[in-house]
Amino acid sequence: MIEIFQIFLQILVIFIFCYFPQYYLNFLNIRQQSIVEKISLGSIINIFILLLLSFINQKNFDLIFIVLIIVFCTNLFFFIIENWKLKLIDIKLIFLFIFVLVFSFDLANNFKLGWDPQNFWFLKTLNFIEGGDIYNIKNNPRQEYPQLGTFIWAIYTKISFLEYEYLGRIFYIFFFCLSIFSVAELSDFNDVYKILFSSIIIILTYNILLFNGNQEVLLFSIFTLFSKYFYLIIKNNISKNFLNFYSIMIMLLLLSSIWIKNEAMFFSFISIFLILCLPKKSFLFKTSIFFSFILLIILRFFIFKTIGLNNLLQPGNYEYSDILHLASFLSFDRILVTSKYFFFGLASNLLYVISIPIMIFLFVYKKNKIYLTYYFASLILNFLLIHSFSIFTSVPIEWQLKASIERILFEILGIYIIPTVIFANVYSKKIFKIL
Amino acid sequence: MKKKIEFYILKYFILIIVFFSLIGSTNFLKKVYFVNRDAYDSRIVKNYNFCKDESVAFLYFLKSKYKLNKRVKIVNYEIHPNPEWVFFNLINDNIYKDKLILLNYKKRDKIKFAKLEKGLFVGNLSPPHRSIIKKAIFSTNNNINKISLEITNRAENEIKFLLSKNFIFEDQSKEIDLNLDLEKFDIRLGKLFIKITNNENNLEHIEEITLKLAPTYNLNNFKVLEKIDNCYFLERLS
Repeated sequence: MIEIFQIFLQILVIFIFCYFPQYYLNFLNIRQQSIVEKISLGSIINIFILLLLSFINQKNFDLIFIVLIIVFCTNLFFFIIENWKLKLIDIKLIFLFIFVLVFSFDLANNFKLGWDPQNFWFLKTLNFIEGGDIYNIKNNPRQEYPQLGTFIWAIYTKISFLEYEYLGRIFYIFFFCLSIFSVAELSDFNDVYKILFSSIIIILTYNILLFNGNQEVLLFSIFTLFSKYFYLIIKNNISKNFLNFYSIMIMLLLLSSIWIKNEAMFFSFISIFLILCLPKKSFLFKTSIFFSFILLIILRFFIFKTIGLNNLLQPGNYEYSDILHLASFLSFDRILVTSKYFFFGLASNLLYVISIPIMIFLFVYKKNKIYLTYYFASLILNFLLIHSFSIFTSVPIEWQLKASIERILFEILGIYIIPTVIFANVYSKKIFKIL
Repeated sequence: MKKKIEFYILKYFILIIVFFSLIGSTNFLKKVYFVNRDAYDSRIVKNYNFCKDESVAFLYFLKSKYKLNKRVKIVNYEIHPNPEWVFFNLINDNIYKDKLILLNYKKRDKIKFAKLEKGLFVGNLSPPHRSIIKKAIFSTNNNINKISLEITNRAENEIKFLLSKNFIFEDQSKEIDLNLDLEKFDIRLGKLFIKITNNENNLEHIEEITLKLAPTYNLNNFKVLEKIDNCYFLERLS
């Protein structure tokens, strides 16, 4: 019974931690937001705070808990004040809570760690749980893998009173569900249909293995939220002049992603490239976005070097992938085998099977073509990038593809929920007339 | 008014359908019941198996029974994730030097190599990566004097050379000593191949090669503290 209570409490604590008070938004001249929107903004801020805290060394560990207590108390205060008078009975919030709760109990029964988590990721988490800091990561295998996802896992494990490791992974479930609920906010539906839309996307995507300690699900959620704010920037034609709130959110998301997995750096670069291609944006806006991103990447390598961690992205792989050897990898056999597994990977991520035809359909029928051009370009560039990850590998290619292609495709899957939202917005009236 | 009521009924009907299909499809109530009924430790056994695959439950059992608070070297004879995290310790050197855990222990005495073509043989089993190749025995009625022997591991298109050496056979023997420890090569995938050549070019009569193996970790050198199925907790004999 204690564990059941703990799971409930853990979810509530995560919700409070990730709440972003309207009071702060008012300072930024942002109009009244829905509670789901406030929580998704809060989760981005929360992850950013945890990223900063992950660099604190062992001697100042108390500081982490002081910061977390301050964040929790202020958020709790504003959460109660702002949602007083039955606002808590927000149907979307209740359903988001139910989804997280149901999946958390699924995790409580199926908490077996995956292959990579047992070999690398969980050791980093344990390092933080046992009181180690980022400097101790040198003693773990795969020290070149960044620490943010495992730090989040460790912190949420530590703040639970039972301290079972899977309780930390409930944050992954929360962030996954939240990102989908947050994207559904873009639709023109009423709350009930938004819940229905989110439920369909979640059911199509959910698999308990996503939460086996692998970090891909965090990237999925980050790129889902990225695509949402990217869409808002295009749609509202904001950020004409300089950095605005949504572009800051995008930068925080991309910053977090590069501290979760190394390949996110490449996906983020494509995302930045798309921002640079946006029309009607000032030169200052584009250069500030581009150079901030470059600075963040340099900072990441600099910090790794200062700490003494390995700066190679994937030692043992891509060993001969320099310019001189590139041609030797480009054989017909390798391209063919990569394409074969690539299509298997697409088919196993069901949302691609729905999203890609929808994009093509909208493209052909010239609906919202301007928005879709960016998502289409992102799809092609990301797919080319994933292909090149496999083609230029120096480990046995089939083994690499079997082990990773499905997961890598999943990382960016969230970006392509937006075309389904556009489709639903365009055709919703017709659909619901039929219903 | 009637339309509004109909809309509200439809709205709540949809939500109820979503709610119940979620609860039903995930067996939510059953899972809440299991969390209540089974303690965390017993769910570890359910999730990881006791002495199978990574044998995490066996390691937890050892950790609590022997109050192990340092790391222990774990050797798994099958290909599974490394479960050393069960004994995680911040201080890397904190390790029991006299203790060893063997998981899915299998004793292999030999591995046979069938002839593929003249001078090329393929092993009938996956690489016995926790073994030492003591000898190679050639199945032939003729005498062999000199031989060039090459042992490789091939996984997909990757070839790893394990040994390449010339041998001279003494006293019409058909055996050669190799003493090759496979553990240091970390080969677990693919197959082993043996290629033999000599100047006399008279190797077509060799039909089969057998490699005699000795375990890298010989149980005779250890005291068995715990044995459950093929999982062992050992202490080195001084």
